[in-house]
Amino acid sequence: MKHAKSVGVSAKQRKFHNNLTAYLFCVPWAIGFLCFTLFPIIFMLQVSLTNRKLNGISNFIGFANYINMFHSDSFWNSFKVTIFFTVITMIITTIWAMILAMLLNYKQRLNGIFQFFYFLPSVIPSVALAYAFRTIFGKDAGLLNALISMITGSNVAVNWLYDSHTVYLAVFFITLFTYNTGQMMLIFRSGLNDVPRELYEASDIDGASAFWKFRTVTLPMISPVVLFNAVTGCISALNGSFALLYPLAGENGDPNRMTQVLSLLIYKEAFSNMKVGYASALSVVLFLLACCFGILIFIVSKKTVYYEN
Amino acid sequence: MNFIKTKSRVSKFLIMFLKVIIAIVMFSPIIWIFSGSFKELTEFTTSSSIIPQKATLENFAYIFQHSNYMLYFRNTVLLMFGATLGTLLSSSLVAYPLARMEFPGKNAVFAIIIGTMMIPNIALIIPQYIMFGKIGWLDSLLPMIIPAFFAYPYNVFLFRQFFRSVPKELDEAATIDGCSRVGVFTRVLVPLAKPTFVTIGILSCVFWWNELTQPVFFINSDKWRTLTIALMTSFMYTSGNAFVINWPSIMAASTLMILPPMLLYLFGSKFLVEGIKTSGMKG
Amino acid sequence: MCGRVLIMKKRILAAFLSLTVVSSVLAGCSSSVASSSGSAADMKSAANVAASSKSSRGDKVTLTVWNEPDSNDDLNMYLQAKKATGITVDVTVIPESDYSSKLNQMISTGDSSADIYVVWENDLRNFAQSNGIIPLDDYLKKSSIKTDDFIGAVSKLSEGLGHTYGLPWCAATELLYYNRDMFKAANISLPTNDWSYANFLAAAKKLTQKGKVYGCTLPNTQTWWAGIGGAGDQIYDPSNGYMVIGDGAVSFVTDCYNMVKAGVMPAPSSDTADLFAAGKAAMSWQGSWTIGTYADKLNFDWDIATLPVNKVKYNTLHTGFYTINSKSKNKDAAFKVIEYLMGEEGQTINSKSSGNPSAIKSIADEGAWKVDGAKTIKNWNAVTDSLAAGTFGYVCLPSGVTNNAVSEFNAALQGQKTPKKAVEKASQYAKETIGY
Repeated sequence: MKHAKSVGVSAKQRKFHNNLTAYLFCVPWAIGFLCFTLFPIIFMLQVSLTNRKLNGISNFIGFANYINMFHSDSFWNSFKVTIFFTVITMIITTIWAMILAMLLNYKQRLNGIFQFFYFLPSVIPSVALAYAFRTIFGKDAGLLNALISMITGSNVAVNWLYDSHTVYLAVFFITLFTYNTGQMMLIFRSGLNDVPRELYEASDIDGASAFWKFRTVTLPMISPVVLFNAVTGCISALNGSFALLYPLAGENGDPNRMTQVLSLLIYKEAFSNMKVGYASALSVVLFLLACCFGILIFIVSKKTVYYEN
Repeated sequence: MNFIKTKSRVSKFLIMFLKVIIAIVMFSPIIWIFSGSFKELTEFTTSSSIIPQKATLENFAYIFQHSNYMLYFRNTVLLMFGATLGTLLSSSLVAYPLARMEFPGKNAVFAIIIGTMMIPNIALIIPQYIMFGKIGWLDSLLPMIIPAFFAYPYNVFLFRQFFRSVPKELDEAATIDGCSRVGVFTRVLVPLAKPTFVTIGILSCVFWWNELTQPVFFINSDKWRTLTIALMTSFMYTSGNAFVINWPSIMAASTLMILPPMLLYLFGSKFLVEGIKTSGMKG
Repeated sequence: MCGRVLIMKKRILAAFLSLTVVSSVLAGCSSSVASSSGSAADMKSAANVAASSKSSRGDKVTLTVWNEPDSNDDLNMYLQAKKATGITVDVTVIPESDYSSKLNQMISTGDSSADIYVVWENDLRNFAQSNGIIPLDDYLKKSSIKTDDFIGAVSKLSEGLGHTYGLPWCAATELLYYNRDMFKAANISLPTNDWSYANFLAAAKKLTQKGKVYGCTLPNTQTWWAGIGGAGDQIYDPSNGYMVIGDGAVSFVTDCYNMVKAGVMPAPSSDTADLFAAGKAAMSWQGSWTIGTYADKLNFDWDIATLPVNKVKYNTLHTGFYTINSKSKNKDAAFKVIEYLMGEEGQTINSKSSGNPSAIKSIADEGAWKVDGAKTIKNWNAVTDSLAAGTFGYVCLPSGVTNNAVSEFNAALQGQKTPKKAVEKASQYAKETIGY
């Protein structure tokens, strides 16, 4: 085929060969998709209709898992917590990453060092982060309480991670240190850099304030980047919540299941309660939830994202 | 390069001040981890000073004596390299036709790839767990390494972005020289994409070094445990079985786990940062 | 041009291989130093063991357990087993937090890497029923283990299974630990083995020094149930396997809630620390195995007593059962090791190391469980008393259910829900799970 210039080979044959090569290149992905994505999805649906236990014994029970799920308090709690956690994480980390990126984009000395400090927490394992914060937020010997006591002079002992009023503050603070936030910060930096200077200079001539410039120039120009970050933020919140919250709060999502996202509940039901069938049903719900988020983001992006071409 | 220049010196100073404060806050957990690894257990649970009053190396000794730390290190390294090798090979292969060739179903394939990016790994982990159990791959590194050889959507996306940025003239030059499609791939695109390979390689290595979710589900025994699992569970008992979490040892183990990515970042920051930025490119 | 790509790939491959070789060597070196190893290199030798060898030289069995073997060689019963039988015991430590589920997974996948499982009470039945472990009756007929000398509760547990599937490695119970120095300083009479619950509540209050010392530590995942059982609940119904808690639980949780509010007990928090050992709490309800941990390491005068008696004298017995994996390839060697561990010497070493008496009455009477290091203890009778009153309660329930219940109780302690609601939720969850 190297010298496909001979008259006898028609364009149709060449096209066929071209397509065949393309498909062959795609074969690894196709196999992977079938085996590790499509088949598990179908299998998951099937197992969710059984009462399979961890030791493998399984009987068909129809929709009983789903019915029990809808009657279960802990499921609805988990569902609400998952949505709450995902949405707020997405918003907070995106805003924080944007702030960091903007700070880093001000032309000042030592920006490289600052970027090092801002990005470094992202590359440490979330387990280490979770344990570090468990002790920083500790009640009697925690760093934060000690600092606050030093500043205010009185003996402050807030139980950050166990008090229902403060646990969300603490957890969302920790999400600012995850890999996803660091990644977003870097992407925002490059997105901000790509905004054409002329647009800023034009609005300067018009006498625009910094805030106005941000709203009318910066935001629209980086909206594709914001979209990309929103998507990765959403996936990371759904996925990464396990690796962050399991060492932090245990599988029960203490206190009082306030941090028991669906991924934790799946782990608990499958491995502590041995209810693999039920855990599959929960996985189906998580899967559908992820799809819903995806569709939602897609719809919102159609209306708000400005593409140059 | 596009910088927003501030007008007054006051705001310049304020911004620098803000940056410093934020840097301290962002770096604080790492400082805490470092300092904690040199403290004794009683000191750790009773005081919260940054500098240990009685600095000791016993925690580092502890983690090597009371667990098979080198074994876990070996397992993590195996996992990291195996998965990275797999993903570099397969993702680049799959990205090639998506970037360079036209064929029926191309848009559908690409759409499905993007779609699967939205699926959280954890939603599919239970059926995968059962599947792997039936084949007998559980309690080994295979459930994580083998899928890497079949193209991760995210890395396919990254490679595609890069390939599209290579001018098509180079392709055509090679074809005129007599290279087949495969030849174009191996002799033109891959050498040019070396930086991208390095970037994605580093990103993948850091990812697997830090990964907890998949090993927790798939690995049972001590034989294949990775460092992240060990960090979570191996330092819970000082001696006997009184349930006490040996915090300073966890801090020491964390310190050891942080060092490689940190050094990697120091020396390879150019690649790492460039690579992450590339992934956000429009289109 | 093609060559360059190949060279780059070769370099990557070479680097990967050399790093793997280096870390394998290092892993191999270090695992031979650590006393509990599970490295891959040893697995090959295990496979070479002849199935029915009478000669034990060079045999190896793998045993799973949740706590580390004693660091003192003389008290490491697995090392001593090797000396006695010639069979090497490779100990695989699986953390307690997922011990039960990991074992369930290993059984369900037909894992043959472990020969002996030390099984928890709640798993014994379902492992037996799914044929994950073998009945030991045939082996027992030819062995010297005194199976008719077990304490009553143990015999009862094995009933209903038809055969004997596991042998209890010890009998641990739950005790009250107290700081004698603090009691003397506050001029309160010391706890006795018939101390009442009211005595306990009053003493805890008196011993509290706001901001410095708590009267008592929080109940832990084990001793919650001692308090609930003592308040009158049945907890475990052997006839159907369900969790039965009600008014007793509500009253005990309420008591704890009041104590937390008054600062007598610490609130649940994320930085777990042993406040009793640190001298920051005057009393603690803990398992009897903590005697072995504390030994002579505490720097104050302390002693033990039975748990205070509420409506009923109640505490939970804990044990682990030595069982043989049905997929094991070294069953004979495994039983030889179990025989040693259940024999006079093995049980005595276990007792000395953990502070838990043997489940075999005659061996327990010899008193080897009185930990040498714990010199401040005068009230050793607390242990025997507790054993006599002990029962296998919550340990027969799935750990997911009991952990969930404790999580609910802790939430009630924080005032996030009423004790009644917590108990209701815990019961509801138990019903959903157990009947699955």
